[in-house]
Amino acid sequence: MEEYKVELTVNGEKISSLAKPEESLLKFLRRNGFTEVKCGCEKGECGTCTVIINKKTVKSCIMLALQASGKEILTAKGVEKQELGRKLQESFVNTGAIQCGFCTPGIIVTAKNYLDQNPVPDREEIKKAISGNLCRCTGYKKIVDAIYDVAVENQK
Amino acid sequence: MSQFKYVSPKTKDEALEILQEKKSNACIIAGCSNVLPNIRDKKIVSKVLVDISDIEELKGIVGEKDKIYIGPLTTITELVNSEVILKEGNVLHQAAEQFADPIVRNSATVGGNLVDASPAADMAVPLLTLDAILKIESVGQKKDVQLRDFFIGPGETILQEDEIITGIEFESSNINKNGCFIKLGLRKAMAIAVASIAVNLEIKENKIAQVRIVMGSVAPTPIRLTATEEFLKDKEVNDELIEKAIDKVREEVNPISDIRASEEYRRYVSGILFKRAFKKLTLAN
Amino acid sequence: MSEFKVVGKPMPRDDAWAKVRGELKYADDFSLPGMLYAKVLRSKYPAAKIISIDTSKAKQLEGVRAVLTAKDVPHNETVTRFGQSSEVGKGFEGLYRVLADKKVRFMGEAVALVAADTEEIAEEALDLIVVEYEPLPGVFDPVEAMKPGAYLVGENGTNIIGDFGCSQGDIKKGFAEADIIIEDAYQVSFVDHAYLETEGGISWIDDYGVINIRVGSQVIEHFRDVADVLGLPHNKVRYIGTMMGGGFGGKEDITVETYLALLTWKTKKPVRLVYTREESILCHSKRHPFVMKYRVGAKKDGKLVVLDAELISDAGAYPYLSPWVTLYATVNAAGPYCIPNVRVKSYCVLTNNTFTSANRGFGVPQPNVVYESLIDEFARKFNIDPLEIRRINCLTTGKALSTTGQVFKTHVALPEVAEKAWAALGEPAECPDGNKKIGRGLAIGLMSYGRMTFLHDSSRSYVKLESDGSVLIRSGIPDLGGGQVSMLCQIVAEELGIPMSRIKIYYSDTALTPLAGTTTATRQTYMSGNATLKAAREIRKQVINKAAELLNVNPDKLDLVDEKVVVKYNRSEFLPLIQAIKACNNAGVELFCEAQFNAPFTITPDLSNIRGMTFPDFTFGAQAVEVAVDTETGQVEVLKLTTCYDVGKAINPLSVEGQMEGGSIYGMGYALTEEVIMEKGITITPSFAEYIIPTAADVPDVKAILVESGGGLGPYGAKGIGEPSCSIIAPAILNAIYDAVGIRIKSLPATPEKIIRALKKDYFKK
Repeated sequence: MEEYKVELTVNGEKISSLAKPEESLLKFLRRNGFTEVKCGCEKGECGTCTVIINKKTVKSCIMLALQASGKEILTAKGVEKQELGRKLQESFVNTGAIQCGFCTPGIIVTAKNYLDQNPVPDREEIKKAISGNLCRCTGYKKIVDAIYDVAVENQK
Repeated sequence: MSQFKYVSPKTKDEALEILQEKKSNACIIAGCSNVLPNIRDKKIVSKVLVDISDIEELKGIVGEKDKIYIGPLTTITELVNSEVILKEGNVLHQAAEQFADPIVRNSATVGGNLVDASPAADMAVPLLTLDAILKIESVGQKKDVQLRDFFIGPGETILQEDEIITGIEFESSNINKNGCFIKLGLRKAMAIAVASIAVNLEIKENKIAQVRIVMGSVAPTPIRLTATEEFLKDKEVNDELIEKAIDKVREEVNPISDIRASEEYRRYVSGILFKRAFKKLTLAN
Repeated sequence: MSEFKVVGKPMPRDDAWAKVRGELKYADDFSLPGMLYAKVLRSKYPAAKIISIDTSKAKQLEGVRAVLTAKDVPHNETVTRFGQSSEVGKGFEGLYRVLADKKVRFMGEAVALVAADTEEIAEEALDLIVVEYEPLPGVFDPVEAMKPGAYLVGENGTNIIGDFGCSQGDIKKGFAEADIIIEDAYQVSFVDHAYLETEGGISWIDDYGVINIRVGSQVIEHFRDVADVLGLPHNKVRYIGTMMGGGFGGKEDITVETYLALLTWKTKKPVRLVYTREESILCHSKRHPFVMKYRVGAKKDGKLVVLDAELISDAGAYPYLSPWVTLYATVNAAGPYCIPNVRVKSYCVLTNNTFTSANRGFGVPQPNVVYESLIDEFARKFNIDPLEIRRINCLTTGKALSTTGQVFKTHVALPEVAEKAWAALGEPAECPDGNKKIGRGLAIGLMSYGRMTFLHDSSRSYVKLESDGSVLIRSGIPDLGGGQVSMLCQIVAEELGIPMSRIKIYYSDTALTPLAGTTTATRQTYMSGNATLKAAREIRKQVINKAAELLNVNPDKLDLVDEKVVVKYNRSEFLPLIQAIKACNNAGVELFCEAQFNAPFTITPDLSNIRGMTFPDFTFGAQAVEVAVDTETGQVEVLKLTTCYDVGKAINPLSVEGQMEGGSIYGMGYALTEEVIMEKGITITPSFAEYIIPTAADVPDVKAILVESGGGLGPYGAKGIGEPSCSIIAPAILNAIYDAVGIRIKSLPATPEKIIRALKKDYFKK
């Protein structure tokens, strides 16, 4: 069984581990302790595994761990280190945008990356931006509210 | 148990040599949107995963005077953001905007979508109306293949086990600048097309000088509706023509029934999609 | 208390920060050293005899630690009950098997279990287990399965596992009186809960020899069933419930727990089992399809006079909770309307489809689709406004449910919620283009909160005030994301005047927390909220009494606010809470309390003629939608959605709105896109690409309007909202489609194809 070295940085922390070629980045992250990256479908159809690599959101279940070698990964825990990330967290908590919370890490990551590049969207644009992240509990209303509130704050 | 190996060539030539050596044991990966689920489902077993995602020569969108080149590793997001594509092949831009979802668009590649060869392939449909040419290479060999000759069946293409697509090209032309893509899905994101259409059109003096019509999800592969195109050529644009063309479209498509829709519905709605795309283009003129 | 301090205020939930930071550990976020990985071998056929199972090769594979089949299970057949004190019903087979034995009854039924050192080895072992099947014909349509001579799914001589009924008045007389009679048949399909977190957990044996199962479960009382399967005393199995990534009824039955317990018991090692998404869609419970035939009569003035309904539910391969679901449907079959003559007959039937069980709404959304569509039809026939016809017929406080005669002693917020929901649609949308037509639809409904009263439901909660003024709560309450846990904290914060940040709750542990009953049946605010309220108030009383002594005032004049005991009308006169606590401790006054709350207890009714109280109370609501229907493709877009419910009292308005908004979209998916399609028992929609739930791009901005009548039986007059909030959106959408394009869809989901086939009949005839 072939295993290869994977060295990457997650939320600023250097991780080095062996991985099989067919192991997804999702499984690699989770077994290295980053359980905030969730597994919902393993086919790229739900978004709970979303992370940021080089300012792009990626569904980690459909990327090989080996492909992430040498790269910098940001998870939901990592976005907290930046002010926009903290603002989003606070907005989600105060707006009631979190019910079961399983989709939350993936959506926070998507929202942060989106607002970084599009600081002043309208509600319809926000809905499109998070359309790759499923939520079964909230109906998306308060999630859009929470992201929109941060965007409006940004404008001031 | 399944045994995989992994290599990550840094140049195109390196990749081609690996393919020549490994042949059917090699499996090319880039964005991986389809490969990993297939590995999980045991549809891909014990291969050498040849990761071409770092090969710079296969990236980029270049607009030259008479043609536009797209590297096969171009992501769908890059297509959405490309001024060149917006100007020269906006039908592709429209399709890219509706592809999967914003996250998958960051990783999925044009080449990957073509090679996956789904009957619904959202990149194949507009590239066919742009009459694209594929640059295909193997060790010591380069050839140009018309995209319309590329697909054989669902999931099947003419690409040999030692070949990769190294470029996708289409002409800078009036017809290519004037296109419309419509996708009918069961929801507004992460939707596999029930039916999709791309139409590119050139009108001269209210007559159809050139038209290309391609549909997805209504046949084993994305198809050019050549009989309908033939019917429309040189004709004057009016409502009566459109009505007749709708019938032709419905005759020409060859859909199946599956969990998303029945054959009859797909056939019916093909006519509607054609009408809408065609009217959008002709009203704009 | 004249004014609430915390209750009724929009508050961040107790668990919100842990969730947003990604710190909360769900069932699969936990591992133990030496943990084994489990996989389940599942049946390839929906109906087959098992001729033989050969596990020898699998057992020999290096790294495999256990391979189990039915013969390895001490008690393979058992009954899923929870808290039932009496036997209910005849022919109530009420059982499921842990592992298939001799026969498989649905595709995906568990046949063998493997535990191995790695997940890959476990998967390889599955491939090495050789099962010889003899396929059997099976039966896949509940109507066919009812017929004499039909293929028998079980061993009982019949596929009908329950038949229920209720009636009042005289339907012959009713039909004779009616000016117009409408007769129609509606059908609804299998759907999936589609929670983002699949079923899963981990088990181990602790230092006391107790099997611990750490799992996402809505019913931790199942520890008893797991113990029974293993032949162990109940106190040798412990459930540690995790916060769930969604439940919706799908984690109400035992999912992975018995498999985990068996493998841990055999191997003596920790074992992990988490279902893949495909496994979850294929093999866990679905919502019941129903075939519903209604015949309803009304007079010209719009008054309904008679309703005759026959409901047939597809129980799938095993009963699970099907009889209960069918009972709920029976009681709800006439909706929130006063109809003098009613007869409902319902049947619950086994087939070889995937088993069906609890799904949010529990048998209520299904008949809602019919009666709300029919009343809409009457409205059109009589040319009466949709709101008006509901005003004419709806229940009001003091009236009785038309099926069972249960009198509504608590507030019935009809037609108020309907008026508000309808008005909130605002100005009609402009038609976006010539191909689309706009339509509006209304639906009203009722749904119980609290379990059926003949089940003698109760809940316990323990609250303790620490000497430093912080609080400990212990409650068995499972939390599936609806804020169940946080709600209890909010009640205690209110009663004891202590901030939420100083309250710690231990929840969902059968060994260490008093059992609070199931997180199902929209019962937790009512039951555990009341139990916790009772416990908190007892402590409050003790503290206030002691403080009254010290302050020399009448206890009536005191309140607990901001960690102080204050004089109500002169807050500058106060005693720090901590001093009052100290005084209590010195005097040996108990500042802890475990309280039990009981729902009303009734006797088991005659299920063939259900009369009287069957539920503690009901929640009334209305939903209104505006849709745009594409007349050429059949696509339906929901432009506006308003939802108005009388929630009694919203303990946390954000949570309540969240349930209403989320419930609306859960129901919207049911109405328009969701269907688990089975072809002769084989699921052909195995992943999220085929099983389509709404994305953010598909939803309108739901407008949630809370009515707070204070008329509920829960704490502060609260009612339940979790299930009511999703149960009437489907008929509202169907009515809106009719309004837009004049066609009545009589089956769910209302796909574009169904709409176009009805709109373009001529084309499709060719």
